[in-house]
Amino acid sequence: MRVAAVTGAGRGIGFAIARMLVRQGTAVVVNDVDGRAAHDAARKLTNTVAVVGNVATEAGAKAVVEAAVNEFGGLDVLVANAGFGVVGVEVGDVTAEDWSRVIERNLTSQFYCVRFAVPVMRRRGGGRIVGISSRAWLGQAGGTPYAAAKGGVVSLMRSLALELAPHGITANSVVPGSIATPALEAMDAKAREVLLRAHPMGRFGDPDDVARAVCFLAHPAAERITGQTLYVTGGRNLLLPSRTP
Amino acid sequence: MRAAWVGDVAYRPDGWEWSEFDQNTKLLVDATAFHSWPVPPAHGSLRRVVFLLTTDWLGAGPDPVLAARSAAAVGLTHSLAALWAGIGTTVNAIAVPRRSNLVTSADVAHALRYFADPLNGYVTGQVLNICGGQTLVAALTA
Ligand SMILES: NC(=O)c1ccc[n+]([C@@H]2O[C@H](COP(=O)([O-])OP(=O)(O)OC[C@H]3O[C@@H](n4cnc5c(N)ncnc54)[C@H](O)[C@@H]3O)[C@@H](O)[C@H]2O)c1
Repeated sequence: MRVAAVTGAGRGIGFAIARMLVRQGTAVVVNDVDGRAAHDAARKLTNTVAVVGNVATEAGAKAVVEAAVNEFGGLDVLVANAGFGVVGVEVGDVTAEDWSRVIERNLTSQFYCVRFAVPVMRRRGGGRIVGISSRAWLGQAGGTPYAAAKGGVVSLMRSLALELAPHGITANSVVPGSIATPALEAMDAKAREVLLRAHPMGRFGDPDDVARAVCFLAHPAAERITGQTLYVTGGRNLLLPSRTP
Repeated sequence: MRAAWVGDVAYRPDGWEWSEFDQNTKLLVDATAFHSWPVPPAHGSLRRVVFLLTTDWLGAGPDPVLAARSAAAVGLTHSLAALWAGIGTTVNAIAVPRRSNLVTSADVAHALRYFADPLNGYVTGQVLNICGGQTLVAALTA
């Protein structure tokens, strides 16, 4: 049986990814730093195990990979999804602590998970790594630490692709645009309207759109797709800058 | 969703068959509206467009003309994607290395199935290189 680990899978995009993987017959380690979210998510899905922990620490990341090995006998798919966005802070107001926290939670966390996952995947003869980036990586005014961290994810996946190709392990980035998660729904109506106008499809994405992209890259048949950056943005990245807030 | 084929890409019930790919850009569209190409699709008629091209769009020293042709298809992909996003038609491209036995028809079939999926309506303007990582640092541009 194929085994996957999804970080930050207690809710939002991560939960949708875990749900789709389970529907495709994959056993899934459901990680979240929020204990209740992790356990609730795991309860809603079959063939899962919840691992509560912060993957921005080595111990937290290690526990996720160990659970895959101990509960399901190995690991085929790592989806490094845990993260959070911070926008609206001018660069002069970004403190050193803010910077480190955003980089740790969005980029270093992915590195930790990868470091523990790769030896397990190599023993298995192959694997799939998917890093969740963000459209912000293209550049985001007021979001310098977040954009840099998510750009780091793209670069990390490209390096892993080159390094791990001989071992049958692929590494790709999925780049969500604006996805209709609770945070986005909670925006005030006016700001939401402005944001929506920047979307050529006239709608936000669904967490399942991101999940579909992840499952496509995580599939055994995707063995020669590696180092790629797959945009799930409804075409927002195609618009001229003048039309993008 | 039904689909049609142009050039060397054919649809079979059990998947996509890919034979003897050459440097010509291939266009793959929904059969119901295929005859009307390149007229902009009306609502509901043409939902998924997938171009098949070579990774030469990244630059091909020995053959600049080929690179230009491939790059043109990329520009077309991006522009049509932006143009038709409002009516829910996605336009994506799959790029494979020319004359390489690294990439097989099964690799292309997997990606075609993904981009042609009726449920896959939020991914557009994507150029997916299927190259086993070959083009990551070898290309003339990033
Ligand atoms: N929602 C969007 O529009 C959007 C857009 C671009 C990128 N993204 C990215 O997608 C990913 C998921 O976003 P979301 O919208 O589902 O967010 P979310 O806040 O709804 O869910 C994220 C989950 O991850 C958990 N988490 C956060 N940090 C963690 C850590 N260090 N260890 C373990 N768990 C952790 C949270 O507790 C939460 O349950 C993030 O990386 C985010 O940056 C989201």
